[in-house]
Amino acid sequence: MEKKIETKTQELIRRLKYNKSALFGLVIVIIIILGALLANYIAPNDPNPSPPELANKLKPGFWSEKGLKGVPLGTDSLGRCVLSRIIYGSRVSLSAGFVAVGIAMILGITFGVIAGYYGGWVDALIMRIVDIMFAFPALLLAIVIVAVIGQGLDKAMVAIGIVYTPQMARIIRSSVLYIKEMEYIEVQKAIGSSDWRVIFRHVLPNSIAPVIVYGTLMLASAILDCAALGFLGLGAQPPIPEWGAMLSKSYSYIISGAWWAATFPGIAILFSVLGLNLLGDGLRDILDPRLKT
Amino acid sequence: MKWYITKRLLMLIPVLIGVSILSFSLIHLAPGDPAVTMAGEHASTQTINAIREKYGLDKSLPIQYWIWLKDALHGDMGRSIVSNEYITKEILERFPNTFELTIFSMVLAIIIGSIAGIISASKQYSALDYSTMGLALFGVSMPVFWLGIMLMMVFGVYLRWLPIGGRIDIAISLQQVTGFYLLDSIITLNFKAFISILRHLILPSVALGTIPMATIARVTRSSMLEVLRQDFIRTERAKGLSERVVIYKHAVRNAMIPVITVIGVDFGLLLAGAILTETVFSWPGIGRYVVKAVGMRDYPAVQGSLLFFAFMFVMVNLIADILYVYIDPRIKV
Repeated sequence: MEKKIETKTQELIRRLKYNKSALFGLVIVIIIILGALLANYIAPNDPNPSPPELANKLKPGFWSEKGLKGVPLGTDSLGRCVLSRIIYGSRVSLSAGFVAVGIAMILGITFGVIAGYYGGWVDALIMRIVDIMFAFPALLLAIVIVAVIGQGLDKAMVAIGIVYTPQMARIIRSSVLYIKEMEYIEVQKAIGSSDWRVIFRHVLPNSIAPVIVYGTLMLASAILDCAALGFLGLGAQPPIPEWGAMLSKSYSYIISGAWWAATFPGIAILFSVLGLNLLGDGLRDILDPRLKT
Repeated sequence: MKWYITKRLLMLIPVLIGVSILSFSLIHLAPGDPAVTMAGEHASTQTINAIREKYGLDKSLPIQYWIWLKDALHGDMGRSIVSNEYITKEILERFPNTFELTIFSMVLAIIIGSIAGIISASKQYSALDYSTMGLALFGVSMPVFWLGIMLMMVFGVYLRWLPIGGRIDIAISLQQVTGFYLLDSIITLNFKAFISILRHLILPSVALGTIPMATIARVTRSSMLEVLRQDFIRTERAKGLSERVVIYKHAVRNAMIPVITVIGVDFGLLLAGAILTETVFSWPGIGRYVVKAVGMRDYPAVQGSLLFFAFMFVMVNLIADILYVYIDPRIKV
């Protein structure tokens, strides 16, 4: 059993090597993960110095002679180092994305498996609820959930997790429906395996490919939506160095010429989302050719 | 066809009921007494009691839902806590702004996106193909709010070519007829206003239209490539038809079918994107309205906009589905 898993992983790595865009995405994702893990070591400055160094506010970076030494990407309106905040921000955005997708996975897999495996009225009920949730644009639904449960980063993660649940449930359900019809599942049932055993030992492990693929792509949108909520002032609250919130606090200063504080956090969002999208697309092509569009 | 539309409309009923229940529940899920929530924190006991009476908040939930639904169907969603105006009125005032923005973005996205996709496919693996698809890749990963800020910075602040927000220059007066600015300026033959409105539309539409533009370009390209591989295209080439006729007259027509579906899906995303774009460009639409309402805890206003947005979203998807069948008769209905 163990050997087989290893060869599958090896095959994945081998095929990843030939998929240049996926490889590029993987490199970006690794850089961001490293940035998040090593933020303490690589960030040149404290992302939240207290008291704030207001004398250094909105100073340009390396491109200008007026720039401060040791602040490569300039400072924001409270004199904080933009680069350091972006590096620490990768921690916030990545963990927010992971938590949101984690919530969506736990709920989505639970409801998807129940709907797909048991069928009947349970399936019908769950799928109608999914339909109803699909009737709202995802970001709007997240905003409304935040309106109910309150603002803040943790609440935003929960809101995004809930909003992504129906998508995950649908994917899992269709995967379960496909596997359920396989002969070996029938054999399992015939020899008297319990539903739990069939689900955990056979159905779920076989649905892992779409979970990985859509989980990666979902992570990209979760980071984007989390930044959007932060930008709207409904997600991460100051002084948390969250990319979207950083943008919303800085973009009014572009009129006075301080373009850097609003520009670089956006580039960080763009590249994280791009990297995860490329990786997700690549994984989809490799792991599940049936899903190829 | 008729049967398909009927079936599709019938399927809408449970969804719309669910949507209304969800919107209704909002006020009860929010912390605190719904009557106080609806009246606003600083309302007098008298007002709170009046609201409790009007919405039957002392009655059971199903009865409350029924009262609320009946009012909503009659166009009464209650009053905003913040402005004390009727929410239906506030939404309808803002709707034309969101409508003009989304339509303009979509038209932009469809024209540029499909042309880029067609050219890319007809010159597969060329430098042009690679650069177009590279751009499209960035496009689909774009945070629209950031793109809006960047466009505003470059074209508004530095180059000073275009205005950075609002709908029209303050100095220009426009007679309101329909509420749709662009339409009103045409009806009243106000050329100066027309130009100003158009200039204000460009940056927000480009920002909002980028993601659908990129997805349309990608789908058009792959769909074109699929069609170009088919036998009838080979036959036409063999017949000696020029490449231009083959591509533009025969391939494009077949390749656009999947693009229609994408346009339908993207339209919904556009509504969500409008929330962000309108915030960046101080655009007086429903998106900005809902963000403000959430920030102010104006629950009735959030409820109303939620219902309105969902209704629009469902309708757009319905139209896309019907259009899809209409365009591609091969789909069995």
